[in-house]
Amino acid sequence: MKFKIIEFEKLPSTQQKLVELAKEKKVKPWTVIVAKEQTEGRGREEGRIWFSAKGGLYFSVLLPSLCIEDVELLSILLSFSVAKVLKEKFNVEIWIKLPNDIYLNQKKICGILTQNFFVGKDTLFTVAGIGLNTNLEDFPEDLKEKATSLKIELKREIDNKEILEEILKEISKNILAISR
Amino acid sequence: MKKILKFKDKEYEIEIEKISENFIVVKVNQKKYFFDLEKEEPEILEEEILKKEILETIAKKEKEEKIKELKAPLPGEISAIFVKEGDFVNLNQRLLCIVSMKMENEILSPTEGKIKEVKVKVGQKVQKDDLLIVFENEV
Repeated sequence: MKFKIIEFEKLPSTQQKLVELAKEKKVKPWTVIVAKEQTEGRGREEGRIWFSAKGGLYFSVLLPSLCIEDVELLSILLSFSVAKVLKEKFNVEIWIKLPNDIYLNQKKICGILTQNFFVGKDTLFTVAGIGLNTNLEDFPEDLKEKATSLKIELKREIDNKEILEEILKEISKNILAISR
Repeated sequence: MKKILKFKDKEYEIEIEKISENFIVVKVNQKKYFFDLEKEEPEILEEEILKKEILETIAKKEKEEKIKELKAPLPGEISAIFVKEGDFVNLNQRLLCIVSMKMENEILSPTEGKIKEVKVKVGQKVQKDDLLIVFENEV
C-alpha cells in the first residue's frame, strides 16, 4: 500500500485539515496528514481537546470508502491495529478500552477519533485520527494521573516516523483483510 | 413492478418500467436494458445512444422515486442536527450526525430540496433504517 504522507510543523488539527481536503476531493485514500504539534487536537467528545504538545505522534488518515458492515467494525479494527504494533514493537502489556482508547499501565496512551461521512445511506469516506503519546515527557496537571507516554514508560526516545509507518501498514493490512 | 425469476438455480430480479410512449426499461439485477418499442423487432439500446430527452426523463423519474426520505445508515445516537423543517438544503450539505461505536457519522444530503420533516431529536437512539428526515421534493 502506498501512503502519501504530508507533514506539518503545527496545525490546529490534523483531523480538521484532512476532512476539509477530502470534502473538496483534493486528496486520495491513504493520504496521511501528520503534525508535530496541534493547537486544537480534537478529542472524541464535543469540546474535548487531545493534549498535543511537541514530541507526540498526531496524524489523520483518509481511508477508502468501506461498505457499511465494515464501517461498523472500524473503531475496533483501528484500536486493535495500534495496540498490536505497540505490543509487538515494545513488548508492553496494552489494554484496549473498547472501542477506541488504548491504555498502558492504567493510563491512556492513545486516542482514536473516527469520522465517517455518508451521502444518504452510502459511505463516502472515512477519516481516522490517531493521537499517540510517544515522546512526551510531561503532561498538564489535570492529565498527569490519567495519561502517559511511551517515553515515560520505556525511558527512551521513540522514532515517530517509524512507528507511524508500522501503524499505517497494520491498518491497511487489516482493512484489506475485512473488505468485502 | 418487481419480479424474481429463478433460472438454473440463479435468482434474477426483473423490473419493467415504461419511460415514455415508445420506450421501456428492463432492469435485470439492477442492470438496465432499454427497448425501443417503435421498432418492429424491439432492440436493446446502449445507454449512450439513447436520445438525450429520454435519459433526462429517466434521471427525473429516478430522482422522484429515490430521494424523498433519509434513513439511518447505521444504529447509534443522534448527536447533532444541522437543519430544521422548512430549510432548503443542497446536495452534500450536512444534515445530522450519528454517534456509533464512538465514531462520528456525518450524514450529508443525498439530494437538494426542502426539508419537510425532521423525525429525530438530539440524544435519541436510532436503529439502522429508522426514518430521519423527509424531503419535500418537487421535481
